[in-house]
Amino acid sequence: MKIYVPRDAAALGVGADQTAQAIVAEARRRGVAIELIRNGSRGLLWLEPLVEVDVGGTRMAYGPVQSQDVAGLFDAHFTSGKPHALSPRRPRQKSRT
Amino acid sequence: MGACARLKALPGALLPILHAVQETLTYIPKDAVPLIARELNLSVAEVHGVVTSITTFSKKRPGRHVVHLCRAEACRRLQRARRRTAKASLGVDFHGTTRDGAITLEPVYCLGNCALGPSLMIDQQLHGASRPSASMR
Repeated sequence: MKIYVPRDAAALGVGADQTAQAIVAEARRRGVAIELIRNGSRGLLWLEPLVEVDVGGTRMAYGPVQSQDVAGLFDAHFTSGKPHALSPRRPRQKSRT
Repeated sequence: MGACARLKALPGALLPILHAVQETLTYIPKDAVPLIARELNLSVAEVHGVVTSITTFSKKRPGRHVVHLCRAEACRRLQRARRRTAKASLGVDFHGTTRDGAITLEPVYCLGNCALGPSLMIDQQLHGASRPSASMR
């Protein structure tokens, strides 16, 4: 399973390396096979480090993910795209009048 | 001056040489300026001008670590309290080095990380959204 963690300057500046290390360590501890891919930011900088999981061709995103959040994400089965407190919320739709 | 021999054939070799000297020695010693000028067939004034106008280059030996605090608009908007904290906890002003020689505090005009400011850079590592507690360890 592919997990994406950005490695551009902005993401590294808020701890993306530590998040990536925590994901690898936690996956190993739980015996979950993952492929970690370091990509560029999508530009949603307020959500960095933004972790994405490839679930059947769809990327599910979580952010901002600090290293101490990683165990909780595994507990919530983020590897199958399950929702978590760090799932970005859908913006509330404004009624058009 | 190995850097000179290695890099002087490059077009615009002055900046790469100065960066190499600073990387090795942590600053650009005064004595290096005439040597570099001679190697590149430039006047001492030209090299001196580049060293003194580009603030990335230190003219004197900095502390073991250099903290660059962003002073451009977006970060200053967010960091007034933090700047006081940085100066107070280090006991130095900008361009100053702590008495134990551990940390030099430098201002920097934009790290280009405005969306995640206030930003600072410790040695070569950028830190965004820096709060006093996290950045002042």
